[in-house]
Amino acid sequence: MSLSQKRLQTRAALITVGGGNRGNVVHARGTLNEPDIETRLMHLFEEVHSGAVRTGLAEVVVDIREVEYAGTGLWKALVRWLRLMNDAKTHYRLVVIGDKTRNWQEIGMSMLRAFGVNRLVVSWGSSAPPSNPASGSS
Amino acid sequence: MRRAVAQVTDALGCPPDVAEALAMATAELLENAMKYGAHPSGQPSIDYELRREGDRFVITVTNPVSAESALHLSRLHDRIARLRASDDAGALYAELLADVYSGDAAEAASTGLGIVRIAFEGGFAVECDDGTPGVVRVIARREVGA
Repeated sequence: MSLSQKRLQTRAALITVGGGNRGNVVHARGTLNEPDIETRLMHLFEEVHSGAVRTGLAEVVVDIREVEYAGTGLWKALVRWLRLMNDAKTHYRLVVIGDKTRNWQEIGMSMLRAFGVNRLVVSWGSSAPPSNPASGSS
Repeated sequence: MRRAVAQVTDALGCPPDVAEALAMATAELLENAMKYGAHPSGQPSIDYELRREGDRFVITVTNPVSAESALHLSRLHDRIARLRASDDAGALYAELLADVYSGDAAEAASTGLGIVRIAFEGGFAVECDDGTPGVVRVIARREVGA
């Protein structure tokens, strides 16, 4: 089972969903701080959430290792996603993979943990995405 | 924008953590100015300045505002007042994220989280000057060794 392929291209970032052998992965790269990025991410994450519920996925992976920088819109959108998961009493878990060498990611992920105690897994890896992106250490 | 800030921080001899903090604060302040400022021509009209004053860095962002910016200015003043009253910017950041979690999406779009992030993540003291009608100036200061 996998997510429907989606692609969100902004001026400075590219976010892809599904595709290839990484059907449960949301992969982001670039810089996420345009004024409307929060709204666009919330919309995208709502679609991914709906797709995960519909297809009965056990896990959705969000890989932000190649995001050089993100404004607060990313964290707000992820927090809203966790709220959606809680409201829908979903069974899938959300794995967010970051790059610990990016200080802003480490700080943001530590804050994110408070909102997804049971369903959120924070994982760390290097910026180069491996073939299996969920293989980073927790 | 981050490249331009990096060129300046390189020229100023900033350590990497300070350069990162300055880039983050710049991004948040400019994003706020673009989102909530008045830009009647359709093009953002924002003045940005980064300078070093002895042992501290000062970022100043100035932009026009309109009557529609009143709610944003009210939130801006509230967040800065709460930062001043608190000795734990991280706790305030977590509190605002909890508001995002519990609120509706429209409310979540404007929480002043960026201003608190500048203080929490970047170690800046933030103040706001809107004494000149139609203009708001946000100033963020950070000690070199903060």
